[in-house]
Amino acid sequence: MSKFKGGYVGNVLRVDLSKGKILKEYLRKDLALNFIGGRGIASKILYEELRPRIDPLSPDNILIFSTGPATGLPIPSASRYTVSTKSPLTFALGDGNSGGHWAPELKYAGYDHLIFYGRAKKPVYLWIDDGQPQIKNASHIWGKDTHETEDIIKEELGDKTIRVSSIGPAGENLVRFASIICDRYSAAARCGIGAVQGSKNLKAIAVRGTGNVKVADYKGFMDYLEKVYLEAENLGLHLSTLTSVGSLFLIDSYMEFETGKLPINNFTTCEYPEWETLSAHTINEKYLLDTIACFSCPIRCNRRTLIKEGIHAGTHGAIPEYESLSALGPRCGVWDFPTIAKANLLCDKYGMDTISTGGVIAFAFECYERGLITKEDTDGLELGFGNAEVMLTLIEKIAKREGFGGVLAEGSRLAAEKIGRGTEKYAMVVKGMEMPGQDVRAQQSMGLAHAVSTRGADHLRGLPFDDIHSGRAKELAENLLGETPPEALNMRIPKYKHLIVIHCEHLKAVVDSMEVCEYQPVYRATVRSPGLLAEAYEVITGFPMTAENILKIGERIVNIERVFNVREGFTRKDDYLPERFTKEPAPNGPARGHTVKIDELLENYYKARGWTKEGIPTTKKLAELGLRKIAEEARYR
Amino acid sequence: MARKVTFIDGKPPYHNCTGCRTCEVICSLVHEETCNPREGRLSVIRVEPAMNKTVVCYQCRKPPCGEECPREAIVYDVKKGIVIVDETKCIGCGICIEACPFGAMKMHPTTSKAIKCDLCYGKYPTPACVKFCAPGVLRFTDANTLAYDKASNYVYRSIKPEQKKLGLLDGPKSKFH
Repeated sequence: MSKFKGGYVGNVLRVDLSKGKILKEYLRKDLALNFIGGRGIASKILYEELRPRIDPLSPDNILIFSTGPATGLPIPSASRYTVSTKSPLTFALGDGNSGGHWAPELKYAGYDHLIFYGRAKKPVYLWIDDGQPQIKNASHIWGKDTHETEDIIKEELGDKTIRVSSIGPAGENLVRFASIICDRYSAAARCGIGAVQGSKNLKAIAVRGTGNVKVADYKGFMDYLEKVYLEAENLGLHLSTLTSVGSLFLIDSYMEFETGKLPINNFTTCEYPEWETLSAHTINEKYLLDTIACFSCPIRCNRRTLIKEGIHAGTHGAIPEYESLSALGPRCGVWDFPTIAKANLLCDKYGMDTISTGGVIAFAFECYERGLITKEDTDGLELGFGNAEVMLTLIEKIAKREGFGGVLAEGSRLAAEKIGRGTEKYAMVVKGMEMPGQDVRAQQSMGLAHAVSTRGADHLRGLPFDDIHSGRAKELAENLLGETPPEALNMRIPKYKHLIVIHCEHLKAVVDSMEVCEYQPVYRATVRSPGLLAEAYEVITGFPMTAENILKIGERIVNIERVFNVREGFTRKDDYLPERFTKEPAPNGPARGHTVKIDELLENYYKARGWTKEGIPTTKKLAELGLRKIAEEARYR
Repeated sequence: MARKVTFIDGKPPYHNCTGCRTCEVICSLVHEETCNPREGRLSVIRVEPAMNKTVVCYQCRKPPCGEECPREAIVYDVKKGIVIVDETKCIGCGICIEACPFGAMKMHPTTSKAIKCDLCYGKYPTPACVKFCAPGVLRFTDANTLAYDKASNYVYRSIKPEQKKLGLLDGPKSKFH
């Protein structure tokens, strides 16, 4: 009998792959109350159960698939799941998050979390048919790409409504930035979680769920739904932009309106006269096939394309969203949409993170152009920005770890260490993870968010997008400071930006733990008032919640992740951006002459967080967040 | 009054069903007070590549499901304008599912009784799925209004651009576009 009235189904499945044993247990109520779910609970479990400083690709590592209390409910965009583990790319806490239809199915099958231990002797997949999980042989699908895997498993189990999440050849070959793919095109990609799944010999997880997810307060929930749908309609402009072009509106926004954040040629330039070949509306007009939505999502930013002419004619796949498009496109100097769509499709099929793939290829391109690596290193390939065909070849070589691909499959940082010759300077990484498509010199708060993110360079941990938009910046400043000083509204000035980042990090931690999408119109509204999230939590679970408390939980989650990383040896020295962003001023574009004032930002950030100057959470702070036991245990200070 | 039912009215690229399954879950919430798309009285079908469609009962005047039902558990209620399953009579054989040409009949996963769309009769003012359909594909209307709207859209598409510029004509409207 479940302890929970709604939201949570109340079960956790522990799968020991080494012994082939499956254990079902109840979800602990204290975890649910203090960490909400999803990313929050997973980070706590990682802290509790993982021994410090293990090799991420050894059987000692654990892999957690988490859903949140909102997953499976018709709350807008509540389709997500988080996969958490110790990352083989950053050696810190790592997680990837994905939408699609897999996570709700897991909830309907009756599980909040799946935790995998050990390593299977031969390839296996887990088949969860409601209450009956079983480990099945996957030798015949080992080596197949994610699309084939999905089709074969559905065929084998004889039901097309089964949902499958799987790894492709990249995960099997332990490419350090391999992803986990569900529903063909939805990827939980970052931090190399696919490689950890590959190291466990776990090819896929197939789920069929026919059970219920309850809500605690039925009437309150229906009222809440009516309210948020109305809210969504009131946010008409924002929603219709996302609906018609998805995240690609960022391309236009970064190039057209004074922001200058699109990374071009591995962040060496911010200008490109013919950028409109990749503008959102060009892509819509020429290449859009149809729009598709993740579970329960009114936004439907997941779109499909069919390339009709040219050498890539017949390519059918997802239209890359902004990050994939900028990483596999402008960052590598490629401005041809069909090539980018093809590259994106290859990454989905092989199961690789598009951001890191684009990042590592751009790194190789720059090193080659600077003469630090030559044809001898690259198996005779002629690298260089804009070399689209070579980019596609490299993607295949990385996935299969062939020749030079094997070097790049280690990620930019380890590849640079292996190559040497001063190439480290051109690896655009924080904590070993490739930077996403944000030239942070244009936006101080984004720079800080990337630097301090608990999973390596990442825009989604903080997502401080609100200081770009002057109206929203004003509201946020008013909310946080009680006034609107001009510095707070100018995104190129570091002052006050740490407050924005901290606030957004807390909210984002809650959003990730509820497992709703960051594009959810309601989250946009909650940047101004966390009240809506608290209300959702209350009507879903029946546990009382206030806006202050929900931010406090956000802070707790950020701190436990930080403590995990400190235990792994990460301190202030790891919170720095590549020198390109802090020492080389932006060469051109709207942000010309600006750098990220990282020391000032970090200083303020640590102080406001109540951490030491080295970025270590103090015992006092942890005690204040109810993590006293952890503070005593860790004794890292 | 003309008989209203839930129609699927969409065309690519923007007004098509996106396969988000909100309607299925909302339906289960209204009818069962829990979330479970398999208990929803309608289905969303996704066929790769990029094809989604909602399948829902059209409340036939002469329902084939009712004609086939051995217990006469399914009848068209003229007063309410819906085809109703009498749960006390239903034996859960599934022959109605066989009979329905659209696949709009479903079997309840736990009670094993036939379930189908009742337009939220007596539970919600208008069908809840229609209210929460973000792309505006589901419409609660009578057949001739739908026909009129479709005909107007067809005519609108054939109007010359110069005439459109005059701004006297209303274009097709949807929730967000």
